[in-house]
Amino acid sequence: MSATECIPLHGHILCLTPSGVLIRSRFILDGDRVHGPDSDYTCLAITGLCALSEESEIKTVQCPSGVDERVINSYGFNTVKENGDWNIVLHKDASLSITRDSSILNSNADDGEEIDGEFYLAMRRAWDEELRSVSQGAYVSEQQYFTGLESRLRLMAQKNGAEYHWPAREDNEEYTTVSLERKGTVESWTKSSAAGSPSEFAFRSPILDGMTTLLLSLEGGVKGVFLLADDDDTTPEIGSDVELVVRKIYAQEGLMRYGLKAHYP
Amino acid sequence: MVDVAIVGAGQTPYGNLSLTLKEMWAQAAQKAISSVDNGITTSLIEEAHIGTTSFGGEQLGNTASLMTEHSGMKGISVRRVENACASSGFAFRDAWMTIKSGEADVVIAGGIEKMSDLSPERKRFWLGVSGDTEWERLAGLTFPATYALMARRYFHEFDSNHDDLVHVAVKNHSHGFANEVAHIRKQVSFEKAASGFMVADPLTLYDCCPTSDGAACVVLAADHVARKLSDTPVWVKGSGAASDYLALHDRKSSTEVMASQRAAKKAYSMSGLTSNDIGLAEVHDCFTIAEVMACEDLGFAKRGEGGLFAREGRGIINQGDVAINPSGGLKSKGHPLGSTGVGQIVEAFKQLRNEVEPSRQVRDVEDALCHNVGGSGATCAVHILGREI
Repeated sequence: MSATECIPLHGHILCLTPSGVLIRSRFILDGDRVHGPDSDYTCLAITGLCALSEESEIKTVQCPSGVDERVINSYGFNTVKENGDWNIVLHKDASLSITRDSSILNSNADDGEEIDGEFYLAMRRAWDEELRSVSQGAYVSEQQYFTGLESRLRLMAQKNGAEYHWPAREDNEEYTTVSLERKGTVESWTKSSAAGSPSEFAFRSPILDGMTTLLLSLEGGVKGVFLLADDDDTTPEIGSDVELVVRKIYAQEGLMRYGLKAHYP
Repeated sequence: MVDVAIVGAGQTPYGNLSLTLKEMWAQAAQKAISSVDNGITTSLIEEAHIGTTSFGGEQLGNTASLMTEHSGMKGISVRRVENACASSGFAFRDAWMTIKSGEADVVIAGGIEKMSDLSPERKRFWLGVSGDTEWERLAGLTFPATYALMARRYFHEFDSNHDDLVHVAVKNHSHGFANEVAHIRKQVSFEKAASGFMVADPLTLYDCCPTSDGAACVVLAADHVARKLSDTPVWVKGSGAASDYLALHDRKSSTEVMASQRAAKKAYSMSGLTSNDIGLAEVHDCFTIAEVMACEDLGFAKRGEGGLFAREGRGIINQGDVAINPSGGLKSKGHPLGSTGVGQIVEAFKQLRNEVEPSRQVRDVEDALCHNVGGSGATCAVHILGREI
């Protein structure tokens, strides 16, 4: 594959080249490539590393500022401060390269879809406000978030014979740990009204006109609930298949929280 | 073992009340105490079990001692019971067990919640706190959305659609219209209830109960004391309680509530009764789909036929097989979270004593069932009450 032969992956655009991967947002605003409604460089980096790991061994990866190293680690990639086996290089627009020599791969392409300017700016402001917000009630602490992050991102499950448990159960003593496939089938779904979302989403939900949540059946018969990624206006159908991709979930007290969201390939 | 009866019951109206927590509790407790046929003084009360989620954070700790301090019961043994919306269903069960154990002869059970005095921002932080915070809440779910997932799956699995839920809303508003303590006392037409704005697809405004203020209190007594205190005690014939996974996605089925089934099985077994013997049931209809599933879980309808049960009007007072939510249920009477369970007991107590408004009095009722659910089915308490033991 050459840099000009790019494919959609995880809701982004992936270009696999002999030197590494170029991964870019699919959203364009007035000719500039911008991040999607719930994506950032960390989300792009994970998609790029996933694609790269199919082609090459990734022993270590060096993350620049702007990519959440703890999220990359929790997804299963070893990060280092310097001399990485692979290096993530952020571009000025919403794209990045992952190469061995820190070179920047060409990202001059006009593929993608136009995003509404007002919507884009409103979402950026909402994320900024959300990042400064403080809980007044229900709360997931930083410790709890990071403790569960590997399970959240890699769907790390317990397997007892033919039985799977996800999220893990603390009273399960004899099990093997498996990472479930990041895809599922829709068992049910709902779209909450703008005012009906939890307070963690209060800034963004009115802009999105509510949020869509899917109850999914995953590998091994386990189930989970996931938001729909990228403000997708697709109306889900019971029985349809989705893949699970990394996106920003919510921000609070200065910490961006990431997780898996459902994406129709 | 000692039998236990309810000898007094009272509650505040449900709604957006201009009363504080302390005022609401004092009013409910006073009504319960003054309703005892042959009179009772608070000095006879030995224990108090008070259910509340302490919505909004006002007096999160030691709630029960503050309440009893303001109702003439200072100094007795008290505790707050918290199991989300089933808090006071479990408070009632604990009070009943206290007497059954022989530890006390006269005990009160109550429930209270103040929900209307929070800013909209603070209210959003508290609504849904009884769901699974780490996984469900961060997938955008509050309770309307969780029950919406159940409703859509129910429609997919069975011969049912949203019209069945509309029938539930119309019935419960009709029942609650005559109830003097109901939060929303207005009849709604099928057409109006079918066209409410969408809250969480497929659930509309008319599928959702209101958030209410309110308090409820009952006085329980051991049989030898109950017969002295009351000419018409209402007996606790069965008590069952159970739990299930907190998160909906951890349960095998999204269209039945196993905690309800388990709790009901215990209560029926203890009472020696079956669903066919029940003349009225106060069921936990926080959302209309919850009533449809409850009618199945409690044995009033076959599995998958809860929608048909609603469609055929089989829960209408004095018309159907069994009066479902003659108070108007959570949908019309209101849902002050921690108060709801004991509020259901108050309704059953009055129905069994022919003390409710005549237009909604269930005729010839001997036995009643109260079904109180916490969250989307993580906890459930079921009680069967009767005129005779």
